[in-house]
Amino acid sequence: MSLAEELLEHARFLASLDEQTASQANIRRAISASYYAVFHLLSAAVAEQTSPDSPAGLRECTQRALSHSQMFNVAKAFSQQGQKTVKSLPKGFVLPDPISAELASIASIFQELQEARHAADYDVLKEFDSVDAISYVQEAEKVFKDWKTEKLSENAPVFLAALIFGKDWNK
Amino acid sequence: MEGPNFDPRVGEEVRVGFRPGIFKITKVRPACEEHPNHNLHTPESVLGTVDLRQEGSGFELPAIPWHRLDYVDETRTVRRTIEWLAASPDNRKYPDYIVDYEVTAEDDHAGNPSIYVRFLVAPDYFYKNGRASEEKVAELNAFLYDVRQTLLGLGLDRWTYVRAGQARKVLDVAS
Repeated sequence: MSLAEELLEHARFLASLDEQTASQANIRRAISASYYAVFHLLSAAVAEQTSPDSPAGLRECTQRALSHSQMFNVAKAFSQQGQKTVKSLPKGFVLPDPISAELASIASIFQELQEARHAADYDVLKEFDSVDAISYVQEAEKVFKDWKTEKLSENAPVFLAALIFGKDWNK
Repeated sequence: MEGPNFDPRVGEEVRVGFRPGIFKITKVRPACEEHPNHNLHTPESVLGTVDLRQEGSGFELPAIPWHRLDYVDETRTVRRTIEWLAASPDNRKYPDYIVDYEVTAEDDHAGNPSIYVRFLVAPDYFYKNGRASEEKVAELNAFLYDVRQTLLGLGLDRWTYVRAGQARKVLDVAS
């Protein structure tokens, strides 16, 4: 099982605990783990696309090079279904296909999850309930499901490349 | 109704061009309704005008064309769109378990000027035998995704976040 899948399972486990007592610790960790499950799913896919697996450790180092804020901006750019030109791509570059419902959903959920992760980890004023936890876990599960089909699309390699190179393409 | 209604409304606060201060809309005239004072007519007036009064000074500006108004409320466009969705226009389903919504403008964790929409759902809707219903949460997530896509279609220069939360129960504090 990959780290991303383990994190997703962990998020699901945390969200199912204490539904009635609504422990803030479990709920917040469930939201955080949901985000990191998606982060590792996508960052592993980026590393697999951009780096060979030999010598050992090279691909893992590539994965470490990804930046949350860069991925956040790219996710925002890809979150509108039907678009063919998006920010975060080289100037004049057009996507092979319009952004699918799956890719738009993946991008939009990534953005929402990262924002939620920050609130869950740092904002003690905010109160989360178990519906929040289940909702975010389900969103993460949807990303895993959608990625299974979207990764075979013509747009997938462009999206993955943007996640790591986006801000440097037009410097 | 074909789309959200972005027409000005009495009571809204606006800025106008280079004039300092904030004005309140006191009268709205739709397209083709002329201001009684013909000296105030311009080619722009045919698309609708408002009368304004400055807060504090009471200074009045009559027959200002709609497109010259800069609304103070940054959430206005999103708010009007949610209002439209809540009125259940064709082909859109606004769940009846949503009892209210909040729209706020603030920066997100990365410092992007953002608008947050939070739908408040009936407290007991999601729970069955003390556990949240997976099906109901999935249905809610699908709705939230549709709303996000609608808001993205507005081409706003702000980031938008759409979430849901439970409406607060009325607490029994008698004892």
